[in-house]
Amino acid sequence: MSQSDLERERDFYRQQCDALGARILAMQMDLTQAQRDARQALTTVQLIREGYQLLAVPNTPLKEISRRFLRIILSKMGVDRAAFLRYLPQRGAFLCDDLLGFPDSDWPAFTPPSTPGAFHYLNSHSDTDPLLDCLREAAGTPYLLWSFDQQAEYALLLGNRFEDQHLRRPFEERDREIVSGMLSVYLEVVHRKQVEEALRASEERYYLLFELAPDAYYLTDLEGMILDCNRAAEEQIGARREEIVGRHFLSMSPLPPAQVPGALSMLEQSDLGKGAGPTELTLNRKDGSQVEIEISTFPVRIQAQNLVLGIAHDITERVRSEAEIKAALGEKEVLLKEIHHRVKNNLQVISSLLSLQSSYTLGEAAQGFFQESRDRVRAMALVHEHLYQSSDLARINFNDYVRALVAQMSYSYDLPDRQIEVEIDVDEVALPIDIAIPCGLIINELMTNALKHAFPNGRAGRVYIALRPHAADSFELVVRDDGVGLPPDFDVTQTQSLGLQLVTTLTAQLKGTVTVNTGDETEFQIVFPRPVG
Amino acid sequence: MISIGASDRTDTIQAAGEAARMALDRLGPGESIGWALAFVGGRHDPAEMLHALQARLGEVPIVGGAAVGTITHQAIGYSGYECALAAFPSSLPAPTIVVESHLDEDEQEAGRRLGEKLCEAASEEGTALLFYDSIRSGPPPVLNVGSRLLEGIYAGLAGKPVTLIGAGTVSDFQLTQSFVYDGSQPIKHAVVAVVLPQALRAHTAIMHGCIPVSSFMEITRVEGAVVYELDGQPALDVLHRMLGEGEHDWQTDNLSLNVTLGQKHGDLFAPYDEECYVNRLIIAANAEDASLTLFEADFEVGSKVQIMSRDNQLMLDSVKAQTSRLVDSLGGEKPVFALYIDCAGRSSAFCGASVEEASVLQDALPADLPLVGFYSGVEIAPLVGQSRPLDWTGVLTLFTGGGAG
Repeated sequence: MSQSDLERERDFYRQQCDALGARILAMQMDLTQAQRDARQALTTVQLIREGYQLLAVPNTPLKEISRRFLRIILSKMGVDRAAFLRYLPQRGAFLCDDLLGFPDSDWPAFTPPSTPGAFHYLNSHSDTDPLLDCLREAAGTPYLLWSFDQQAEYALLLGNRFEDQHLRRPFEERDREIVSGMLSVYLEVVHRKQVEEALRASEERYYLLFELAPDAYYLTDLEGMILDCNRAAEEQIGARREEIVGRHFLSMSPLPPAQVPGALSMLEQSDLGKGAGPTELTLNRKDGSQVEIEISTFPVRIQAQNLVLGIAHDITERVRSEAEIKAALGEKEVLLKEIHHRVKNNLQVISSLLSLQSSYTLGEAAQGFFQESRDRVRAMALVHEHLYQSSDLARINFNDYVRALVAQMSYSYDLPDRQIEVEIDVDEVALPIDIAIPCGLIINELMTNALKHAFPNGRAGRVYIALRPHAADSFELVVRDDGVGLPPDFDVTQTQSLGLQLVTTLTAQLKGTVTVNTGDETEFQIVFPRPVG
Repeated sequence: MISIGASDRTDTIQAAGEAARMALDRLGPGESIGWALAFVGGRHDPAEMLHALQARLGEVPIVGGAAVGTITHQAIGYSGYECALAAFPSSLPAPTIVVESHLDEDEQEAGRRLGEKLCEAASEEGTALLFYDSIRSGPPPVLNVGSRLLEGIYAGLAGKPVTLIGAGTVSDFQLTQSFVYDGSQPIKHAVVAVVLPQALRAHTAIMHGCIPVSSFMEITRVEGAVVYELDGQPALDVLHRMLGEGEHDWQTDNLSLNVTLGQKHGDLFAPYDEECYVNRLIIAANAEDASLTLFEADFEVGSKVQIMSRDNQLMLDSVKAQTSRLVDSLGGEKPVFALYIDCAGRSSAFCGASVEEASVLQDALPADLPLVGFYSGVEIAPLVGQSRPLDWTGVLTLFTGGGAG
């Protein structure tokens, strides 16, 4: 081969070598740019990974999350500045939540001339407008990327001081996906963290409510095995939680045999999905002492397991107090009965004294006065007798009372020997003493009046006594006879009769009214308000 | 025991506190710190960081400077918030620290002055760690030229064999700022050298990652870092012709930091060996005069160069192979400390590599070996006879001896 050919061949190979080299170089540069872009695109993936790692760490402050995200964004995107901004729609302003790469950490809020869109970018070729100028001023850099989530009212702002063809290539439309992706990942992580924190706070609150509740809380399975309890339960049983949990409630605190079926029945109710109680039980504490509790059970479902929550209120003090009150009441009852008994006895003494006194009086009229007075005293004594014999020391059965009163008067006025029939039509009603005594005295006066004046000369007849509801809020007391009747000009308000004056006075005491009906029969109708209670 | 501390907290005081506490926790029983290396991301305030570190560690000399990011066994990061610390126990002989400033006036002269100081402080075959401020001004960035600095240092050393290992520091990928720690303060336009005690022996490997994609071309006109002509033609025109205009949009920015000019040392026609190449980034293609501005200024008229392309797989393979080779070369001697100076362009964010190149290094080194590394603008390591400023490389140095292992 000639020298010339050799030189041509050398030149040929040099050209081929250079051409191949140029292709390699071009491919290498394309590959580099593609790999850089791919790496930037992976920023979102890294944020997701980082986000999940942060979510796994309890109590990670939001500031740490934002800071770590901004660090990744700065590093992987190769930008100078990054900031997370919160939008305040009322003010139309953006506040900085966190920032990185800015010269000043004290970054003021900014108010754009209009609400920014979801995505903006600014590079050296961009046309600007007032909004972009405002964003540029906020970033403090000539080039920026902006992503705004209008629903979350949150934005990510990235800024670059320079542009080049490498790490700081000009921002452009194709950055939309990556920058909005980064913001979305951040918002998702923050949202999850907030939900998680809220849940944790809620759990802590409920735990505190459980733990510090004044009543004892026992969580058992449907068999009665204690799974958890609170501090009050520890104090109630007198044992530490670790001694309580894992044991059956009957072995932990044996109940009196009579109470066991009831307690087990409460568990059965829970098994049926029903609450039970409140039921009073006696717990035997670890130290041998006893505590009285009132327990209610509720079926609960925790982590797909049916359980029983027992809430036990310590009623030891209440039971003790009730016993004391009961004893005190018993004493008072005895005392009250004794008082009524003594009042009745005293009234009987007065009656006897009147009777004795009457034996020293010769006039028939005076005898009659003594008799009437005795009857009145006995009518009152009869009320007290009924009171101390009654289970309710404040009220008497008025039907029983009227029958006893009539029987007593029958004896005084020799009714069995006279042709006078007394009909009693009194409802089964319990009247208090302040009503019963006036009513008894009224009946006494009207019946005395009838027996004395309505049936002269052995006249046969009938006396009718009734007490019944008159209206919704009143009673009517009726005393009626079919005797000779009252004089035509009779006026109960003008009568000189002591007995009828007493009737008027006692009716007024009852806040009632008295009506006298005459005709074939003589009827006194007293209507008075129904006593309260 | 050399102990490592690191943090990537965004608050400078907290970051310093965390890194210092970590380093102190890893000190041996009864040990105290004699001095420390510290590398700090560009989002931290350098003075605040230094004061916070010294508040924790004590008033010990702290040398190092700005970093795009840092590398330890636990973490690799370049968000700008990283800081990493290597604390040397006071039981080790103290190093000698020499400093020169005014790089922005004349790198070569500053280098010469430093070289003279090194000549006094360093022993024959000694090793010095060298950190210089890469950024003269900007943006756009104007660099302090490492090759001129090294040229001056070797002039000052006057033939004394001293191995220089180090970096031109930068704070971020955009080369906006930088500084170095001179032991007691952060300073600009300065170079600091730490002359290591003889007890510590340095073993270095250089990780490459560029492959030639052109035939050889001869530089026919160059002034400093600006190459005007290749094979007698305007350099940019040659590049465009070679790369094929129209087939790809070869913008200036596409060339810079993606394409290098590589100078092969030794037998030009020997099979490809990455260790024979010195690569220079093309940081600007100047349309006005069709020239190319390189990252360094050490090419000369007559230099045979090739266009080189970065190759991520080659880069990853190189790290694995070179690290294993270096560890094996120690012959069972256990290293006490590993320092990795890594070009920021090799980070995954920049080069797009599917895995972090530094993670390959992490895997290849013993997990219990204290490792501190940082992302730099320029790497300095011995190559083809003397220490040179390098582009697109990772420089791993394993230290043995010291009696502190």
